[in-house]
Amino acid sequence: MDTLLDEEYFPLLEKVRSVSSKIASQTSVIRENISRWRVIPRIIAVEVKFNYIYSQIVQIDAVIEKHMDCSKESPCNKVVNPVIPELKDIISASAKEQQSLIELEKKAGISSYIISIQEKTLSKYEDLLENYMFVGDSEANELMDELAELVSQSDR
Amino acid sequence: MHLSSSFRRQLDKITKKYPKDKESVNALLKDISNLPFSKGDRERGFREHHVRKVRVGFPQHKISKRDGARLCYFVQRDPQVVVFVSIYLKSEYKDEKKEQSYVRQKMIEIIKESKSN
Repeated sequence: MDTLLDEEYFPLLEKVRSVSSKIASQTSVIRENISRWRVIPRIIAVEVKFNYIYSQIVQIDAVIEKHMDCSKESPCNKVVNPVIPELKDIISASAKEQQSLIELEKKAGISSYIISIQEKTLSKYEDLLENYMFVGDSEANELMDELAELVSQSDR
Repeated sequence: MHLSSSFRRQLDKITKKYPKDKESVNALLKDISNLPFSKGDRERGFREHHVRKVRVGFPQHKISKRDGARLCYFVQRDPQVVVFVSIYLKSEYKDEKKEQSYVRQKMIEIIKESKSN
């Protein structure tokens, strides 16, 4: 296993888990106080957290990509593979949370400048989520196995 | 560059809708056939299989890559073979489940076609 996987992967993942759960509790405070002008600093603080965990997720994602070609039995794959569905859930939950917050802020008349910053972060999450679309899709995986087998047979 | 009839039908539908960008889409397909690992992002859900997704814009029609089409293809490494699986407009598949279902359907069509050849 490489050093990054060994020493940094799990601390990164732990940070993402922890900040992700903090975001959930902080957005509920924003929802309750959306009509008060003092909610703005809270929105900004949550936005900083969304950006922060995105930067951590991108690093974890890079490790995942690096180890995708390792054999199924390799020790690194045993570490990396189980985390992929969890990471998809975190990306998806963050995007949904941010999307619903933005919709609420629009209705509440929050500054369009603040909303535009949040929309940029949201689009980064959505873009990343597209790469995880087939995670957990066993039917698509079986089809891809079959397609790969047909391609390799046609070469023989 | 070999395109399955399933993929060709999808491609024709899109190039009919955005005719001014037909040449750039064909050039992209050629680029992918030559250098498949240089374009787009690798899908994370297919384990060791190398499946990539490219965002296709239609600049002549003022459609950005983000709002344009998605092109999915499978790459076998050695010997290198590229199989174009699907190309579709993102705007038609905003719901992730519908998008997944569409790509799966195209996989089935390509598998059937490969078997019959």
